[in-house]
Amino acid sequence: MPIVATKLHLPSPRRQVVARPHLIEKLNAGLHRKLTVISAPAGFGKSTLVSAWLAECGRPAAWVSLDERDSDPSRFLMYVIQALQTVVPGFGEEVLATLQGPLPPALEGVLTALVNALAAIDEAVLLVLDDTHAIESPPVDHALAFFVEHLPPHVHLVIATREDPRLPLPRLRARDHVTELRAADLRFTLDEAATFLNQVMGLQLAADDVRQLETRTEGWIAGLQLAALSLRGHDDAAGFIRTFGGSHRFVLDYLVEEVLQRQSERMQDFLLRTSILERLCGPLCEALLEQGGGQETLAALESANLFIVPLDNERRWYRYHHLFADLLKQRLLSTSSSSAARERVAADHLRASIWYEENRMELEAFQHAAAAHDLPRAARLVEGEGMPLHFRGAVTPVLTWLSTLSQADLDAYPALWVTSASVDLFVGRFAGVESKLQAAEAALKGIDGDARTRDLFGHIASIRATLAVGFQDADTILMQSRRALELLHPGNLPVRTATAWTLGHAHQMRGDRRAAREAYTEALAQSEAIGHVVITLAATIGLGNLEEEDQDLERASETYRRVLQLAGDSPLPVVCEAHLGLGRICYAWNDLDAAERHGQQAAQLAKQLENTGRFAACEEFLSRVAQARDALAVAAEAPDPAQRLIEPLNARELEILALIARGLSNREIGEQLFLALDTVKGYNRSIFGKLQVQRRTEAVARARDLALL
Amino acid sequence: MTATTGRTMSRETHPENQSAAPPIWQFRVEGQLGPEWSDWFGGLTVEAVEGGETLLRGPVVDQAALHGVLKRLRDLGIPLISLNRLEDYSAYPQADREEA
Repeated sequence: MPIVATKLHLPSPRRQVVARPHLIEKLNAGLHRKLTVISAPAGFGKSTLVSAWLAECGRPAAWVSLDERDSDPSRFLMYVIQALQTVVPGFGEEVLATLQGPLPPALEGVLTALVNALAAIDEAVLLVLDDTHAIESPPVDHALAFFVEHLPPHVHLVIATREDPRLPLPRLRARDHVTELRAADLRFTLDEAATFLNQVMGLQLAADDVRQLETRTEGWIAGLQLAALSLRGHDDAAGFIRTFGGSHRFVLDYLVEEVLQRQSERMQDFLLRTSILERLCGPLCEALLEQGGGQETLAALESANLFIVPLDNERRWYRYHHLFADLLKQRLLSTSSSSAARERVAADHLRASIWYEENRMELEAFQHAAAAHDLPRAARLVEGEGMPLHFRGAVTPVLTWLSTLSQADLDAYPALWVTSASVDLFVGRFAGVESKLQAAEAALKGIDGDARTRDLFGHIASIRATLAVGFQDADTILMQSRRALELLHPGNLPVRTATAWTLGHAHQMRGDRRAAREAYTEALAQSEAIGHVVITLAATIGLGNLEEEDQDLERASETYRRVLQLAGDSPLPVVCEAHLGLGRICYAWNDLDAAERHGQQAAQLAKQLENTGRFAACEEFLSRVAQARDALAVAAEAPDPAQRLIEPLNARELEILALIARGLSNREIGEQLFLALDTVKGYNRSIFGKLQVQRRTEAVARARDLALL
Repeated sequence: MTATTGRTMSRETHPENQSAAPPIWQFRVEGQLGPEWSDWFGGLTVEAVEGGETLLRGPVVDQAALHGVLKRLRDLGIPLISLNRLEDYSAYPQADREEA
């Protein structure tokens, strides 16, 4: 997940702006409160006002420009921390490391750590979240609310947004925690409009003309700016203003047309066609338009005040003001109703996609390929360089794109059926997976069995094996995994490593530990080579289970610890498994305190996972630990110290002894305690050895003598 | 929950009902927009009316699409005056429904 530094760029205050002392004063006066909310529609000068304020308020400020993709809480928090690092070097490094790991962290823990890190900052800072309306995600809303609730007094949060944030604003108002600026505060007054039009935009309008414009635009700054741009070079300013004032057309619709008409044909072409780009830089514009002079044109747009915002100090990356971009895009859309025009737009998207791919920005390359309706290209890019995009934090754009495709599209490119099934599996939508795989098979019927088709059939089998893991169906897993490994291309490591794991899992279910170990070891080597952490963790856990079954508890314990280290505090099922495994080992070693600790950590995670089955297993384990405590307490009070054993039985052995006393067979004991038969026999040998007896009945009698039962 | 809402929900959530005609919504906004805005608002008809207002009207498949239109209005700063659901399709007699 590459960090886009441009998102953290604090917009440098424009050289010429209308000074708004009454608003700055209001903002300064609000600094002692927790929060400033600037909530107004697009084009009311929110960002401009905040950047002007920051330039003179004397406090260091961290800035994040949010967009739709930041609805992922990890990504959102990562930007917040990186922004704070621009003013407090080294801020939140550890939290950042957790977030940058390949696995989703536990949000609650990260938020608490972050608030603690904020409290430790020794100077007053501002944190600005611009375009907060772009976020549409309950987890990020939750994070924001948590911040506001726990913000230390020296950190002030500024939220600029087009819609009110999902915070308890009435309560915050009642407690005087929030300063608000709204559209009514932000619109230009008559004086400000005059200053803006005549000084900033360099016009020479009479007071009456200014009043008319101000009335017609209702002080909407974007409207006034567009009006000023239309007026530049206009011979009959008063005439224009009269016509505009008398029109009922939507202000911006009217004005943007005027502005465009004042531009040269070349410039109009540039503006309309590059409006499809989220960010612009010279070389990208040149590639899209197939002509030179991109950087110069961008600079010219900036000096002409044409709604373009520099995103870095080097003036390399720019973006259009969102409002202006929307207006341009609408015009592009309405003028491209003919199929020839639509094809031209698609060709522009395609060239943008190629440029992004050449510059190794795969997600953007994919998105433009999708917009170009270039299915084979998008299908190829979605597979990513060695690792599919949906495994790399881009599930949402991939899902959105897939949902726009018709059945015929998918039939034409059967690989997309498989991708769609793989994404469904990844996000836990199991119900539709099998029917998608069947659709892929039907679409592949009759296609020559080239290497690519074989690989697809292999991928289909691998997905079926993974589905069968959920049903604990060892035969199916085994069959599909073998089929997958036979068909998959040798270079298709992401799928191969997943399949090696399913194979290992099936072998383990069947009790073939040697084969299971072999498969897990292979899965581990491949997943480490390509950085597929989920499989690395799953295979490591598998190896740990095998070591535990082999009674090699030392090694199993090391293995489980490795899993914990690798996974950090990601709320993943494997972490829960590792804690349970460590709990079982500590229990066997008679370290009941540690066993209980691990059991509780596992239970805590199981709760977060909302996986009731796991939680029940944790509870069951904890109650066994509690019973063992009682049994040990009784054993410690054995009547005759001389009769005490040289080497006492551990908790696990006592447990098995109790079951032997109840007359259970070894197989029944194994089933009850989820142990392999060999493992139970191993425990028996160790119990008999410690009690110095030969058979079960003697063991029970001796244990009764020693009051162990 | 009113009966109407209940019906909407079930129609929108059951896949077998997706073929049923979606409800018609009407957005009344301030300022006059031309028909060339239709595509921008997901194919709704755009009709400038007296008083410097515009009606955007047409079928909106579900609540997500409805909020999509609202977001587009918000992003352009177009003031919304009113929002109505014009016709409840299921209220039509059977004969009309077949014609529609």
